[in-house]
Amino acid sequence: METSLQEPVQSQRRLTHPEPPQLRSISTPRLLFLIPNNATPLQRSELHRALRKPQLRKYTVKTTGPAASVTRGAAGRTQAAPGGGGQGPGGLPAAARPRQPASIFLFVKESCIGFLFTVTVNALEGKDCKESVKLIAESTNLSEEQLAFLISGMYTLLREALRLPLSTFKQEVFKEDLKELRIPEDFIADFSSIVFGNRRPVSEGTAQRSRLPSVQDFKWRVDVAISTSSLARALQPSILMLLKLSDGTAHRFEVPVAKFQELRYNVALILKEMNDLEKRSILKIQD
Amino acid sequence: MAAAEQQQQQPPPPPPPEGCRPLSALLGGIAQAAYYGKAGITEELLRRQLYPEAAPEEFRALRAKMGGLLQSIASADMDLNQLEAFLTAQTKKQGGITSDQAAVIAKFWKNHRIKIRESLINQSRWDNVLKNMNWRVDLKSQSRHIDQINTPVAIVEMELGKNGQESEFLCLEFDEAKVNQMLKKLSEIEESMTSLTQAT
Repeated sequence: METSLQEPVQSQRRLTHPEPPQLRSISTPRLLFLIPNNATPLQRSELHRALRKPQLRKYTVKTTGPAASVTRGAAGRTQAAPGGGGQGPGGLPAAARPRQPASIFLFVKESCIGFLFTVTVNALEGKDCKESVKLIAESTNLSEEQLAFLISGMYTLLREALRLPLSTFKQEVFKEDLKELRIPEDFIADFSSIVFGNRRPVSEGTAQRSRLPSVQDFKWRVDVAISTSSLARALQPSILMLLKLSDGTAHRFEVPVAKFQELRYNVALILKEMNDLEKRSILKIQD
Repeated sequence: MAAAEQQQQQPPPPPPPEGCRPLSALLGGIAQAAYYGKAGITEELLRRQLYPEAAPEEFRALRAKMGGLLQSIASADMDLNQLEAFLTAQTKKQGGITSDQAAVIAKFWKNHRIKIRESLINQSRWDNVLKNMNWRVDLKSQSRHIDQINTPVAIVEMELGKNGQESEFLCLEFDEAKVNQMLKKLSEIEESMTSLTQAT
């Protein structure tokens, strides 16, 4: 009970995980909020003013769908002015807290959002997305800058979320966080299917580039030598193993029965050790 | 008898005079050379230590006969009944062995059967063999791209090599899912082996 009460606060902190200040101003677009699409001309002009402010740029994106869902881009590439982008008392950056509603209407087709997710996931997987972004840019009426805001916002949001260990990061918490950030329902499902579902990017690959090879394929065969040059009736089983590794090499070797039992025992022991390790509280410490 | 064998494995002391002791030691010497890979035990050494009075040709014939018998016994991996039948046949054969010698051979085989069989099985294995394994479980805490990985990984080192050659060390990394997968495969192997050994 106690933990469930605390979770949202924790997760907010996690989502807005602080980065070194010198990096923040350069590379991290702030996640901004969504604004209802019934903004008045006055609100619009407010936004224009906001855009001109050096420390905070924001705009919103509207889809043409009947649900009139609105998504928001991220801004804040500008040099962080003093106080800009600081942490609010609730843990959210100041920029993420709702301000005066204002909006620019940007029409984004539903299908385009799908493309944006695909591109973002590809980017997270470390693939080259130049061509696909160009395609999207040609097929929408978004300016290059707006598109960049959108993609970098989604990228940052997802990157932060993907950094969290799945064992302690819960889907409900993430959805709550997205609601806090005023992401429309429709897209919350998309985001969370990327973080928790089968669309989760194989970012492990990009993240663990400095790893040893792992086993990609494991084939085995139990041989029983019936007769050999030295034994008329050997009838002794022996295991032939073929390990194909992620670095492309393959290793074939025989395992005598006694060694096989040793191997099996040790693998079971490794698994047990890993499970025990995960139970230890050190893994549950969050910043 | 056992003492005589031990003496044979150590630098052999002067042979005891009794008739069956040098024979037992001779069998031990033959096994050392043929099955346990000790190349240093030569015919000349055995003769000098065990049968100093025998003429070299005489000794060579004895050694060849005993070696042949031992080879037949080992290659068929005879059990006690088979061995008894075999030795009885040998004592009745012209130019065969005496029943005293038969008793020595029977006793020797009883003691060495398992070791010799194991060594013969190893001799029929000339591919890479898994010789040893080492492992450790690491905890990855952070990396450049992920703030909190905090997942354990297993680093496994496998020593692969051919008999009598330098081994190659294979280092692998497993996450928990992979270890689990591996364990499942190994259980499959185990199952398949039990079904095999129970059937035969």
